[in-house]
Amino acid sequence: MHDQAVRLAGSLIGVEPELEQEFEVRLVESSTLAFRVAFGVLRHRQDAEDIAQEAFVKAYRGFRQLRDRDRFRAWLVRMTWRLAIDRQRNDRRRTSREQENAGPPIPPAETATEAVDARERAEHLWAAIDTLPEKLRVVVVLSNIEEHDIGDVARLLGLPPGTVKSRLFLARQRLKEQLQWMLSDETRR
Amino acid sequence: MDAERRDEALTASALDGEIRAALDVDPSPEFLARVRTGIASEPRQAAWRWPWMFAAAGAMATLIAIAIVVSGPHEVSSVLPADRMPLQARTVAPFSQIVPVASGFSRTERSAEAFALQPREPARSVHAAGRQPREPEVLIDPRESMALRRLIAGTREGTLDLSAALQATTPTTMDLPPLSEIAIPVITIDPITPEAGDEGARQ
Repeated sequence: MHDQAVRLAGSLIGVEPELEQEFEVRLVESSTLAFRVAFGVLRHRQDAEDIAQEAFVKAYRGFRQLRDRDRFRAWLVRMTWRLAIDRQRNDRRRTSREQENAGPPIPPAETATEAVDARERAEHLWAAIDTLPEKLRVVVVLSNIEEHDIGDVARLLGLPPGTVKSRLFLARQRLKEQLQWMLSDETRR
Repeated sequence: MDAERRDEALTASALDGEIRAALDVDPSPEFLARVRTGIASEPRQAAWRWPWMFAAAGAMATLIAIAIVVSGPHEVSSVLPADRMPLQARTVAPFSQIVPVASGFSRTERSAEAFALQPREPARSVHAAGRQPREPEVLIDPRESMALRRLIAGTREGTLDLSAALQATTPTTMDLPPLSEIAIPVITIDPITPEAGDEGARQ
């Protein structure tokens, strides 16, 4: 009798504990993905965390329609990307913060010269990525997160694999050209 | 060294390696806790929310539909068949153009001009011939009928305040004068007496 009353009360107040548990699982397994997607755009740790958190809160609001794992991840990636792009466009102070925080992490270097080289290479790389159109940039970033292959990226973006493959090829070509131009320009100096 | 670096940058795998290394950043340990806190401040997922909202929306739609059906269209369609139109709305030929049927001439004797001027109603007459005889129409002045419709509609919708009119038509009690016998005087008629003078003479 008591169990029935508890069940009835639970259904009346409508709380679904299993839904909360499912969301917790998705949160744990997708938090790094969302953070890195945001970081790939903003290249600022705190900003990327803010954006990823915002995306998760939005995902929580619509989680009843996003219970499927693949659907959830695809939605989360797209939402995070969109929020990050909006933040990048709106936040005019980002440039100065990037300079203060030195942007992306630098691989460990044995000497000071190597460290400087690594920093320059990273700056060139991100500058080249920033020149890409958005549809190429998202493919490059997603294909280099969590070892996603073309099929994974296609599922995340809701695109045919052939489209992802051609965009990735085009993006790499442009990046090569950009980096080559930057390095040759630096050599000339 | 620059040449080496350039060559390295030009290979796709090296390029991917660079990007992967640049993106190999983990969120801070507090990140998950922050997200959980943010979610905790959100209203909880409720199972009843959507069904309840759907039910409420359905009930509202039903109420609106019932209200529409009950109120109904008050306006009569402006396009009426010709024989249902009010008398004033019908097209009537000028009186001068109508040839009196009950004239002394037969139809064959009419002039061509008079025949041409006769008002023609071919469609009506054909339909009328095949139709069953109906009750005679009650003709109401269209202005009068419009005013009546407005009055009914206004009363139904409550936009008209009829209290003043009701007050005006309420019979008021008044004191009637007490009944008294009506005295009718006796009417006496005097006999007619002939005038003096010669009979038949002008007076």
